[in-house]
Amino acid sequence: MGTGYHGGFGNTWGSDSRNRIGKLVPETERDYEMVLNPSHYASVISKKYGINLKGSGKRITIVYNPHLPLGIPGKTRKRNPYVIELGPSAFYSETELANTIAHELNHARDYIRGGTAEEKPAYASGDALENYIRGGR
Amino acid sequence: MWSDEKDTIVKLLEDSHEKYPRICPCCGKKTGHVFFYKHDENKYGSAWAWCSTCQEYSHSRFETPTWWRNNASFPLEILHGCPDTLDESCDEIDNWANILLDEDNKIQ
Repeated sequence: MGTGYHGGFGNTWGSDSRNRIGKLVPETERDYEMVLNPSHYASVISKKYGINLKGSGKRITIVYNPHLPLGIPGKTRKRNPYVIELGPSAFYSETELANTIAHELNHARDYIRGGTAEEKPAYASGDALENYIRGGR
Repeated sequence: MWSDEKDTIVKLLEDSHEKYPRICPCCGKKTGHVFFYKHDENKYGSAWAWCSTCQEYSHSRFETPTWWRNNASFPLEILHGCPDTLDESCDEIDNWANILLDEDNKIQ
């Protein structure tokens, strides 16, 4: 039957991946540490979705900035592209958090390469991840 | 030289029906501008707040105001972190924002 055989007719390992279109990725339940430490929670979510927090081989750090005004979920500064700041607005939902991280990471990497942080590819990154989370791909 | 160091500049994004250009919270000159990009029907688009005089700016994702409509003269393809390109058309952008604010005032 091959390595994919699980047992039962038509039921094999990997069918969850192949047939996940239309299925939302379940949210991660926050533990005590994640509630107390938003940066840690953001790191957990980054790992969950395979977001590689590196740019040109160097580590990019996620920092929680409680002073970012409501309405501003994330920010990357040209003067320091190795830090992504996340504000309280980023944590309204896991999907929003993941989208924000993907969007800002795109900016950070572009700044590190000497680019101008174009909006179009940043939206493409965030939207692609959100589409995945919502089961669209 | 453009700088994104002073967060005070984001005060230009505060909800108000005051016309643009506004007083820059960093240098006090009346050369503060804003520009938004509404991303489809999403809650979050992008925002730029900047001053033509002191060249402080802020760019981030932002919960775009309900009164904003995108301007076809500034498509997504030309938008990037620094508002240098936007500043070249700051008068046009101010006029656009003021028209939209007027429309919003009339509705309310």
